[in-house]
Amino acid sequence: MTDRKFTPHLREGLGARPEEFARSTCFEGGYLTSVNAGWRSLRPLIDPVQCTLCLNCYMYCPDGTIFKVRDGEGVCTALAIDYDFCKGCGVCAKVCPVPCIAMVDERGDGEVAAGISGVSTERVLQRREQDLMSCSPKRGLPERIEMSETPARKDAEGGAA
Amino acid sequence: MRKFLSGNEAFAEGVRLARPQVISAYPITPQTTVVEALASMVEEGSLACEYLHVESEHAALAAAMGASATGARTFTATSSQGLLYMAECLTYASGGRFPIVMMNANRALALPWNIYGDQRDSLSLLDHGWIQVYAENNQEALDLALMAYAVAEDERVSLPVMVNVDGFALTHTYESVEVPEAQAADAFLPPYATANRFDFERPVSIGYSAGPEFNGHYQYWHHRDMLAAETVVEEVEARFAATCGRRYPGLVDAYRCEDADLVLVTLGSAAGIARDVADELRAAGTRAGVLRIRYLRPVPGRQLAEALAGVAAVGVLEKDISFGGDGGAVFSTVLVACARRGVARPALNFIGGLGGADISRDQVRVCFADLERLAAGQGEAGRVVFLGIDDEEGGLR
Repeated sequence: MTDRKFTPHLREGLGARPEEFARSTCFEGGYLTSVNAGWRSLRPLIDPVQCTLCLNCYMYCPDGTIFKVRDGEGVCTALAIDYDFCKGCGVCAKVCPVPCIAMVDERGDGEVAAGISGVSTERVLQRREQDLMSCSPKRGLPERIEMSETPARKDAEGGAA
Repeated sequence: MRKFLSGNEAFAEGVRLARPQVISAYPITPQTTVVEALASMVEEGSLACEYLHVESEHAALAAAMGASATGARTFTATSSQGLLYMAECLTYASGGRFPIVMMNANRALALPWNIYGDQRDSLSLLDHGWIQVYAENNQEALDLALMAYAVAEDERVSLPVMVNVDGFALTHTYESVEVPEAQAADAFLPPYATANRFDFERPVSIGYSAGPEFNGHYQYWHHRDMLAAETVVEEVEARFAATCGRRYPGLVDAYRCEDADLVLVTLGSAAGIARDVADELRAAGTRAGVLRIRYLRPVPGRQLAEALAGVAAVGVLEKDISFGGDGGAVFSTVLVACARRGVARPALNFIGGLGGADISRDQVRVCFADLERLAAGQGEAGRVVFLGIDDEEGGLR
């Protein structure tokens, strides 16, 4: 399961009052704007078993939504995708040399889009379930971060890449 | 020090006293001589400033925003088509809350092509989120260059200011102008300090997006802070009077309006001749007054409604027309400001001075004569009259 603490914080999820953030478009670095993934029709899924951690997708993602998952010692053990910001462009699947990134239909039938990946449908469905549990783009803002809590910056939380 | 200066030269003196750190501008008649004067000041070393020769007005304002986002005090100037070319960046600058000061030399819009003065350029951009102020003479233009920064940079406002100076009527006309001493100007206007800037010690994101969920909040606070500018303008003018010695009257400049039966509302340099004619009428027993709008954003709604509540007839004289609309933008603004506050007086709109035409003494007499007939119950209220074109027929209903 991907660990959300490595993904960027949403600015408006801080629970700040609008007069504290809506009086200019200037805000502490390290935060992102609202969830921005609504137009995605195909969802990329990384098969962690086949993935060689070559970081091609990590470098090529035009929205910087692919991040490193690290173990307790800070070693990158997997790559994961932040579906709050992934637009489903498919560049990651195109540049994957294995290939182990599948593009699956967002409408939910789990079908792998033709010609992009050789990952098995079974494997894809399994991964999809895991990802949906951890990174649903439909997740509401208020439940993410409590009003009273000021979350530490992402770089203070164990070194996001 | 007293000097004999054109409006553009006077404005450049005001900008020099404000000590901007970055000027980015593209020349356009009748603004050109203000940026020429500033370029000379930078060249000769009397103004320590980065002067950017940009390739267009769009770039001029984009560069000014970039400079402002580093915390620099910035200036730009334009006119007419240049202002319209800049229009996309206007909302970026105001939404980004960059307190840029811009001088706009009011000039007609094409087509037909015309380089002379009217106010259709700035009046067509009232809703781009900038504070808009209109100078009546060269002294006020110079003083507004300084005061605009104080208003724009006030934390309660944090908005760009467009100072409008009538093309040719002011920009190229020479008057005797008092230039404040640098010491007085420095006492009035401290250096710009803001948190709305890039900072290596405190990394920020600037100029980001805001989706449907929160976008309205940004517009709400933009509106609120623009309304707050009224108080700030008054405070800034009081401070200017204390340091530089000239007192300005806030969002509007009311002349003999207290007991007036007929009031002509106008803005910019046309106010002078309107006051002359009002004096003439007063001498002949007609209680006439002139209400000069200085700030059109924020709208001086309370001042307009209070000044016009007791009049028999009100006229709005403007160098603008909103095609197919209810006269000009100023007329609509005045009527709505009054209506919102429960004031409904018979009103006429006088359109004049388009494409640089003079607004003559006789035309202003025609305006007041029409108002006098309206006050006496003759003629329909709400007419839009093009001076010298359909004033004999009584205008459009």
